[in-house]
Amino acid sequence: MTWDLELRGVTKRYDGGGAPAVDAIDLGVESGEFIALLGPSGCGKTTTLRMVAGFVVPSAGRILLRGVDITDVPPHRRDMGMVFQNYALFPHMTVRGNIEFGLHSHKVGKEETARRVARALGLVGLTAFEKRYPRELSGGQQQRVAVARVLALDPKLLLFDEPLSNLDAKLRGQMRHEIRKLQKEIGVTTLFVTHDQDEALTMADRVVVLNQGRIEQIGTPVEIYEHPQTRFVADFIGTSNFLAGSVSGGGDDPVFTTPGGLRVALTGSPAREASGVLAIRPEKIEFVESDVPDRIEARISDVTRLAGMIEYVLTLHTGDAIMIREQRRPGVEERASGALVAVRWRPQDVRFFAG
Amino acid sequence: MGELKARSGAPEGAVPYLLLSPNVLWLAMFMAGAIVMLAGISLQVYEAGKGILDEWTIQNYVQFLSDPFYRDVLWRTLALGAWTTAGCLILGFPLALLLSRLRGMRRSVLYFVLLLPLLTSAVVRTFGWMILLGNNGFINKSLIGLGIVDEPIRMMYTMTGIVIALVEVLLPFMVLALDAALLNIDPHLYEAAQNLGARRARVFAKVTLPLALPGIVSGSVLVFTLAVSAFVTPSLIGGPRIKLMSTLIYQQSMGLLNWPFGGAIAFVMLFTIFALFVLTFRLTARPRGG
Amino acid sequence: MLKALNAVIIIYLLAPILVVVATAFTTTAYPVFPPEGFTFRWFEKFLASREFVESIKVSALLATSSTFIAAILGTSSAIALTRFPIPGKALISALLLSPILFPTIVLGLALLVFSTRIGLSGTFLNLVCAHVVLITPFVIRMVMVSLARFDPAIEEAARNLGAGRWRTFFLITLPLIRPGVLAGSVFAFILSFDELVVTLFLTAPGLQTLPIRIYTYVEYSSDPTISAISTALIAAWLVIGLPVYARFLSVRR
Repeated sequence: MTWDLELRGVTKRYDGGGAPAVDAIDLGVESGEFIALLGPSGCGKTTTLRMVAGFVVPSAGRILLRGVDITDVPPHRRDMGMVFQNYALFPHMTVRGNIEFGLHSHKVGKEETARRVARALGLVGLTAFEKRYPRELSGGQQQRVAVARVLALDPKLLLFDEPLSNLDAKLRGQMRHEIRKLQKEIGVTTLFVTHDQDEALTMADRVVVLNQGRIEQIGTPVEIYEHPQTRFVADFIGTSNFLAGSVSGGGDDPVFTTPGGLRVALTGSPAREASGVLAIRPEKIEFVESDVPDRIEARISDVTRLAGMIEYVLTLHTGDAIMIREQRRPGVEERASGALVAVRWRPQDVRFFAG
Repeated sequence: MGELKARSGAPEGAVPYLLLSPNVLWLAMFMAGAIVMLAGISLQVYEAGKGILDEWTIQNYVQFLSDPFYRDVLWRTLALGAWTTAGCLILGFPLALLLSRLRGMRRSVLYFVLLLPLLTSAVVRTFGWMILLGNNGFINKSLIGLGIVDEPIRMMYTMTGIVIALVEVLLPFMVLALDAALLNIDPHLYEAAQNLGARRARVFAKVTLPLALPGIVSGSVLVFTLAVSAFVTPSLIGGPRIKLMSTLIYQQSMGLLNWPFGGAIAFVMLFTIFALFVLTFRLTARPRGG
Repeated sequence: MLKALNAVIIIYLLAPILVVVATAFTTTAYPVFPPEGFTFRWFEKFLASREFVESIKVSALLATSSTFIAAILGTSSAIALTRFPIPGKALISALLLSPILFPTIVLGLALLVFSTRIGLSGTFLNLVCAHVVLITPFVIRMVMVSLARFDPAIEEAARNLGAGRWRTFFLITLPLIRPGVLAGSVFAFILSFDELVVTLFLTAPGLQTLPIRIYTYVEYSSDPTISAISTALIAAWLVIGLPVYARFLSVRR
């Protein structure tokens, strides 16, 4: 199949040595997909996006758009629309002028331009604002102009560079929803860079998790969350408890043991003996009655009250510490620090990472 | 929309060099080239009637540096630089303190007042001083009228007069340099010092002055350079009798056509300024704490 | 206390300008401060003098040509230094800005020697070349300030929307740096018009600029004509400079 966007071995090295900012990225994006590039700052996600846009020249690798190699094509000929972090609206032009700019640059005729501007404004709900200047608009409105500006060109690819990081939380949530809705309506392939995992997991069809220039994992939000393939992903996405220890007795019944003596049965087969970490998410651990088999006994050592839930830090009888989160529910009492409790988890909710 | 062709036009990497090259080439010719040529000519000799001889020699430099008359000129020029710098520092600091504390409109107004003298050419300002400094000028008339002196103080055609005028001419440079440094000082430091019991004078001596040092240094180097190389003000106020390096260069090269000697004096001046830069750089480069 | 001291210093700073402007109107035959009487006759005298009026034309032509070239050189250099990564940028920047610090008396002599050797001496072109060297750094400085004031992503956005480099420059960059280019150009013009020392070395009959005429006049005589000319110049610079300066300062993004 032909990917809509394909990155083959795309690499970026900077002078002065050191590790590459982007290290041999391979990625294939299907038509109409919404892909989130997610990772901590410095992971190479923005550099990758800028290479796709043409503002940064790759040190190695090729970039293909609908099968055509565009690696050497200058940015103004790539037929992609980019929405910048600070919107980058032209301050000396009205909203209308901003949207017309791209159309004029592509030599679109007068009538067609007018039609497209009207359509773009309508899509983002800013029809009444066309004569305003950017400085007269709120952050959210400026954001929408930036989106309208690129939509008017019917680009083959939409690129977003952390566009929502300057908005307040409530507006951010709203804009996420709107952008995604718009994207689905139009069906344009999209690359969305963010450091906010909630954003990535709620908006994207697939998430590309990046760390230090390399891809850690590509998958749907559910896959990333429920089946992290590397320790980094397990740690970066959501929260995980990590217990150091080693696996022994390979074959059918591998068992993970911590230095404190905690033994955990693992499903699946880490095949060999290895040391590493065991990861389990707080919400996958539940409190159980003290007579349930397979339970693990622990003492509550810390209680933190958050909005809507309570976090407990437990010290297991083996000395290991884990964290549990429990939703506040009617009928469930808050437990006290120092109390003796029992917990349990399912073997399939546990992951082991060697190293 | 639009075919995706390979890149056209100049490769992206060449653009900055294309943008810079006209300017760089221009300077290479009309500044670097000229200076190099002057250096070359300073190593030749001029003979009246014969023109510039075709032999290389450091005679010009030797003459300037060994002849007591010319050495006097050198010291006098350096002294002018020193006095002017001192004057600019003393008068410039209060003004800079004021400027750095102002904000908004008032700051813009004072800033403009500072820039205004720079917009009026040196000739105009020097002419104003000629009117003020004469034996019958406004200053002397006022001093006599107020009974402070019985006879007019001679200021025109003296070094004193030159310094008075030159300090005014160069004051804006010092103020701007000091202001820039003062703005960099975190205002909370003053409050912290006062909170710890320091009175105003102590705050000034122990906090303001040391932290403003970079501005003091850069302003002083700038003013010294401009004072040592000043021509208009010293020549008009000092008159033909007071010999400084700049007036000597002019007289030798334009009056006597002795370009080689004029060039040598010019390079001694350049060297002095350069030495000052290097000295300042060495003294102010702070060793990295370890 | 500080305020009183500063008031005195400011008076000291403005004293010669005030004196010159005041004596432009005196009825006495030599400049006297405080002036006596009020007359415009020195202005008339200066406007009637063919030499002075000629020199104004020379200065104006020289300043205009030099500023035009300096604006182009300065703007391109400023863009290159601000928007592109260049190895040794700090060094190049220092070099391009160095004419501000360089002693004009030395540069004047150096250019005299140079221009004579390459056969350019005594020409108007020679003066233009010299002035461009002196005034371009000021254009560079001002344009760099303007460039720093807006988000470079705006230029990237323009390119992303289909504008090539030229289109981006003319429709986006230039309008946004216009205050800086204008302020730099006005400042450069005034500096070129007022320039004396280097011009003194390179001047020739027929190429006498106004500052040179003033200088030679002042050396031998001092009558209020000079005050009148100076006052006219100050007024002109204020009229041209103030609005441009105000606009440049007020542009805040």
